[in-house]
Amino acid sequence: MLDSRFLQLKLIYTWRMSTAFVFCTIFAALLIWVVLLVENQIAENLFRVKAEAAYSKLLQKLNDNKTVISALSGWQHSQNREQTSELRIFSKEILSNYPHISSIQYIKKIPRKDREAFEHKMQEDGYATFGITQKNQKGLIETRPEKDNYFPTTFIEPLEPHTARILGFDMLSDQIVAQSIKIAMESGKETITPPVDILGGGKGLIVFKATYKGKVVPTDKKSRIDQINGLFAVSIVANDIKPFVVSAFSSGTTNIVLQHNEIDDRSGELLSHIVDKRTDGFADLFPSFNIMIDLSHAGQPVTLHVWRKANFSDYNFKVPIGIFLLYLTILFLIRLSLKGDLKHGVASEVAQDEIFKEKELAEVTLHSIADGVVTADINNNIDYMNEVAEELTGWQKNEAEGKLLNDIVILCNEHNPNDINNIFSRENIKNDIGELTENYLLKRNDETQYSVKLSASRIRNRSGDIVGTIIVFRNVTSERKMAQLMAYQARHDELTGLYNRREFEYQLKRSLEKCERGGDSDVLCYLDLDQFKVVNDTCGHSAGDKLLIQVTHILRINIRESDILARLGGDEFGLIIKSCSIEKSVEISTVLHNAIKEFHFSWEGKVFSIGSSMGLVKVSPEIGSAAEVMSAADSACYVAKDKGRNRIYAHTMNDHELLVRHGEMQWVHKINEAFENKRFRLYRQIVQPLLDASNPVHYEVLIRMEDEHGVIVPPMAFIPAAERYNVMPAIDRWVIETSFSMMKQENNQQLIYNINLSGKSINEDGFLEFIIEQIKSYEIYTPNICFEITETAAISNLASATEFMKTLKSQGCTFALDDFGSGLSSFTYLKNLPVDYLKVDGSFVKDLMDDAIDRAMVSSIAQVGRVMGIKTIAEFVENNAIKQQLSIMDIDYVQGFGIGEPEEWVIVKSIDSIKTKCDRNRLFKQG
Amino acid sequence: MLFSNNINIGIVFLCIIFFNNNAEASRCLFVSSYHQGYEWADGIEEGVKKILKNYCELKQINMNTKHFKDEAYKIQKGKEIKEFIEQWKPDVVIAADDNASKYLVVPYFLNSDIPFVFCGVNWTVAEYGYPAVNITGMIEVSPVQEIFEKIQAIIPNAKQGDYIGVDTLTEQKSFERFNKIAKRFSLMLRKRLAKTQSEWSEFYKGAQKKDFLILGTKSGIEDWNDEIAYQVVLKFGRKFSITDYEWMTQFAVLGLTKIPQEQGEWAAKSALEILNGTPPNLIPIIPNQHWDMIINDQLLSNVNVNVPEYILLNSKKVNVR
Repeated sequence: MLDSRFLQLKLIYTWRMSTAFVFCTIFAALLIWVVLLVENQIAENLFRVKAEAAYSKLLQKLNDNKTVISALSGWQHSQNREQTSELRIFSKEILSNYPHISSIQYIKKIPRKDREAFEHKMQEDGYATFGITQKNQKGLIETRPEKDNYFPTTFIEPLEPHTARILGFDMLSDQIVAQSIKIAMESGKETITPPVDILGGGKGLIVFKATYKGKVVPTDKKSRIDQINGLFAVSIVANDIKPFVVSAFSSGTTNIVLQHNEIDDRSGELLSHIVDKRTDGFADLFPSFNIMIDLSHAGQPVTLHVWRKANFSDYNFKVPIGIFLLYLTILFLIRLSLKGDLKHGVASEVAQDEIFKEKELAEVTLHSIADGVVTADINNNIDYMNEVAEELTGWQKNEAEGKLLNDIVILCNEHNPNDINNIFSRENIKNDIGELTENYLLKRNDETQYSVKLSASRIRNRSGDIVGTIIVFRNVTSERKMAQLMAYQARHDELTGLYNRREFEYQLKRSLEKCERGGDSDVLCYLDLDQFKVVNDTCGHSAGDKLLIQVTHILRINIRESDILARLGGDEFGLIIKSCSIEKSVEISTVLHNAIKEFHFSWEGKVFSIGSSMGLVKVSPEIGSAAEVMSAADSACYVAKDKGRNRIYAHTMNDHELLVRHGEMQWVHKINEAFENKRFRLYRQIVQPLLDASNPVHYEVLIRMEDEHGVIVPPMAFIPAAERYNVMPAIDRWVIETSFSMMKQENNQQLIYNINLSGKSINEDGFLEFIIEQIKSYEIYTPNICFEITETAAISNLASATEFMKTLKSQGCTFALDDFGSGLSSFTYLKNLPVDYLKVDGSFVKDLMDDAIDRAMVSSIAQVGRVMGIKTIAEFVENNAIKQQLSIMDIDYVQGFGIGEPEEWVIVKSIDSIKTKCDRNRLFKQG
Repeated sequence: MLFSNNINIGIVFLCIIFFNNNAEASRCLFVSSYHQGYEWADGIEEGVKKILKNYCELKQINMNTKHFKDEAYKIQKGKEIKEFIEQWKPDVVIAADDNASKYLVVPYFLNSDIPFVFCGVNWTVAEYGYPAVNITGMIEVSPVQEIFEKIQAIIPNAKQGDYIGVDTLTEQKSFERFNKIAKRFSLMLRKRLAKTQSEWSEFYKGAQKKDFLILGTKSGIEDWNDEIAYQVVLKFGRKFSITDYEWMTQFAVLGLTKIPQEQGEWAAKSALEILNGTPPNLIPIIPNQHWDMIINDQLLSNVNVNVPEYILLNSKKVNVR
C-alpha cells in the first residue's frame, strides 16, 4: 500500500516534472530564437545605418567636386584676364580644403591659327619643351596634330614632374573623356567621365565644366560652342576617397565595391575594398547583410555595393545563455517547488547582471565614435545618447532620458533656422521616415547652431513594426561654412558686397519666370555713373573703388528691401524693382538719381560731382529672354547718356529712340560698304580770322558719305554709330591720308587744315606712328596741320592724350580743343593740355544774342584763352550780329554758316581765290 | 690622384655629404655652380636634400665659380667633375645654376647615357642645346610681369623708373627682360649697373627723381656692405622700390622673390622620377611657379604711396633693423 502510494506519488511527480520540462524547454527555445532574431535585426539596422553613412560620405565628396568646379568657373568668369598665379593660389587652397581632390586642370581652347604663337609664348615663358600633343587613333602620342581647334591642358595643380606631362596634351583626343568634354561644352553644366586612369595615380573620375568668353554662360547651345574658351577639370582618385568610405564601418569585415553599371569588367570598378573572404563552415551558419545603393552622379550610373557576412560579434550570446540558465533555474525551482523547497530570483539576478554588462559594453562603444548617436523608444522618448550627442545638443544624457526626441534634438531648416522640423514629434511616431539622410541645423539648448548631416531610421522588429528610432548625426559646420563662403563669393561682387552680374542675371530670369506664370511684373533699371572714369583716371583706382563703395551705400539706403541691387561691372549697376509699374519705377529711379546727384565725392582735396544715367525697362516676356531684357535696359541707358547724360530714360514697346539705337548697327554695315566702294568724300569749312587779319586762314576738314544712290549722308547719321562700334579709327586714318594727299597737291603753306580726331583713335596703339609715317610719306609741312580733339576725348584719358599731343607738337603740328566748355571741369584740365586753340562749344554761341549766361561763358573762355596765350575759335556763327558780338569779346576766329558753308574739297592753289570765295559765301548768306 | 690635385689648388669638393651608407642605394650627384654660404645656392641645396635624403646616396660638389671667376678655372673644374662622374658612376646628376650646365653638362654629357636634371638656369636653355634626351629640369624666371603689375597697382601714374643692379652678364640679361616687359606697360626703364658700392649708392640717390626703382642683385659688388647700403636707402629713399631678390628685400619697399628651395625640390623630384624609370625627356622643362611677397614697413613709411590692402595682407614682413 505504501509502495503503491509512493509509486503513485512518484508517477505524479514524474508526470509533473516531465510536463514542466517539455513546457519550459519549448518556451526557452522559442525565447532564445526570438532574441537572436531581434539581435540580427538590430545588427542589420546598424549595418544599414553605417552603409548609409558611407553612402552619404561618398555622395558628399562627389557633391564637393561640383561645388569646387562651380566656384572655379565662377571665379574664372569674374576675371578680366588670365591670372595663372592667382589661379594657382586659389587651387592650392581648394586642394588643402578638399584632400580627396587629386588635381585641378585648366584646358584652354586654342584655334588652329593661334597655335604656333601660343606654343612660342609658352616656350618664351620658360616652358621650353611645351608643344600641343594628342593621342592618335592607335592611342599613340603625336606632336603635330592638325585640327581646327585644340584643347591642351595649360594649367595643373599640383604641378609635379609626373603631372607636368599633361601640359600641352589635347584632352579632346582622349576617347574616354572626349564625350564628357563635348557635353560639358555644349551644356555649360558639370559632366563626369566614366572611370579613367588619373595621371598614374590610379582609377578615378574627372569632372568637367566649361568657361566662356564674357562674364556669363551663353544661353543657347550654338553660342556656347562658339564662345567657349576653356574648361576646368577636377580629378578624384578613387583610392583617395576610400578611407572616407571605409571609415564609416568600425567592423573590418565589410566589403565595399563602387562599380560603373555600364562597364561590367574590372575596368568599371572604381573602388574595391574586399576584406571578408571566409569560406569555412561557420561562415555558412550566418546570414549576409547586403545593400546596393544607386549613386548615379552627373549622368554616370554608379552603384555602391556593401555587404558582409554576420559573425559571432554581431550577436549577444550572453542573453540567450542567461535565458538558458534561467530555464535550468526554473526547472530547478520547479523541482524544488515540487519538493517544497523553492528559492526565488537566483537565476533572474544572473540574467539581469548579464544584461547590465551588455548594456555597458554597447555604451562604451557608442561613446568612442565621433558621430552623435541618439536612440529613442517606440514613443520617441530618448533612452540613450552618447557624449558627442550630449555636446552637440547641450543636454546631459540623464537629463534627456525619457524626454521627447523632438524636444532634445531640435532640427531646423538649413536655410531658415525658424523653420523647426517636427519629424520626431509624438504625432509622427507611426510615420515611416524611411532611411532619412538630410542636412539640418541643430539647435543646442543654449541656442548655438550647428550644421549637421543626419541619418535616421526606425528600428523595426521582425514583424516590421516600429520599435524605436536611431539617429546618427555629424557636425559639418566648418565644411558647410566653407561651402557657403565659396557660394557667396561666386554670387557677390568683392568690392561692394552687392550681387555680381551672374547672380543678377539669375534673379532676372526668376523675375521673368514669375511674370510668365502670371505674377506681378518687375522693372529692370540699368544704371551707369557719369563721372566715374574721370575720378578713376585722375585720382587712381583706389579713389574709383572708394567712389563705387560710397555710391553703393547711397543706392542701398534708397531702395526697398525687396528690390535686388547688383554691380554689373565697372561703374554699371543693375536694379530689379519688384512688383512695380514703369511709372512708379521712374519715381523710385528719380529718388536714386537725385541722391547720387546731391552726393559730392571728395578725394585728396578734389571734389567731384557725380551723375548717373539710368535706363528702365519692364521685365516682361514681350521683350524677350533675360538677355534681351538686359540688352533693352542697356540700350535705354545708352539713350539716356546719348541725350546728354545724367538723366533717366524709360523704355516702352516700339520705342523710337531704341529703334534708332538698334538702327545704328545697320550703319556699321553701310560704313563698311562705303569704304569698299570708295563713297567717302572730304568737305571743308572755312575758319576765318576775326580780329587780326594777319592770322592764317584755317579750314576744318569734314567727312561726308554717299549712300548707294549717290545721295550725301549727313555726318550725324553715321558718326555716332562709327564711334559706338569702334569704326572711327579707320575713318580717321582715311581722313588723314586723304587730307595729306590733297594738301600735297594744293601745296599752300599759308593755310592751316583742322583735322578732327576721335578719342578712340588717340588711344589706339599705332595711331600716333601712323600719323608720323603719313607726314613723312606726303612730305607735309607740319605747321599746316591742326588736329582737333574734343574735350571729352582728351579728359577721358588725360595722360595718353597729353603724351599724344606733346609728341605731335614736337613735330610742328598744333592742336585745338573742340566743344570747349561742354564738360563740367573744362577749366580744371585746361592747364594740363598743351593746346593752341580753344573751339568754344557751339551751344554757347548760337544763342549768344539772347542768353546772358552764354555771353558770360563765351567771354570767360576768351579771357582765359588770352591769359594762357591760346587762340579762341567760335563755331555756329550763323549771322553778322553774332560775329560782331564775338568781335567785342576778343574771339580770334569765327566759323559757321554765316561765315562759310561746308563745301567739297577741291584743289585751290591761290589763297586769294579762297578769300574771294569765302566773301561770296558770306554775302550770299547775308543776302 | 684626382683629390690630391684638388687639395693642391685649394678648392676641392667643399662638402661631400653621405646620407645613406647603404652600398646598394642609388647614387645621386648634386653639382652646385657656387659655394655653400651663398644664399641662393644654399636654398637649392636645402630643397634637394629635403627630397632626396632618404632615397639615394647623395654627394655634393660645389664649383665655387662666384669666388673663382677665371675662365680657365671653370673649364678645369668642369673637367675634374666629369672625371669624378666617370669614376663614381652616379645614376642621376643634378646641375644647379648656369655654370654647371655651361662647363659640365654641355661639353661632356649632352645626349649621353647619364641622366641630368638642371635647375636655376636663367630664362632660356636654348643656348645650352637643351632639351636633350638625357636632360630635363626647371628654368629660373623672375616675376617680371607681376612686378610691373604691382608697380601700376601702387603708383597708377608711374611713367619712368631706374633698374639698379650689378655690372654682370646675368644682370644685363635681367635688365633686358625687364625692359621688354616694361614697354608692354608703357613704362620707361633706365639701366643703372654698378661695379662698386659707392657707384650703387649714387645710382640710388639719382633714381629718386624717377617714379620707382627696381633693385637687381648686389652679388658681384665686392666691397658691398649691407649696413652702408641700408643707411643710404633709409636716408635717401623716398620713391617706391621693388626687387625680385630675397637678399635685397631689406633695401626695397616690396620684394617679389624667387624661392630657391622650389628649384631644388623640383630637380630632386625629377631625379626620383628618373630613378623610378621615367626617361628624362618625358619630364617637361618648366619655369618656377612660386614667389614670396615681402614688405618692408620701415621703408614703406618713408614713401608716399598707398599699397593696396591685399598686398599688405599677403606679404611677409622683412626683418626690421
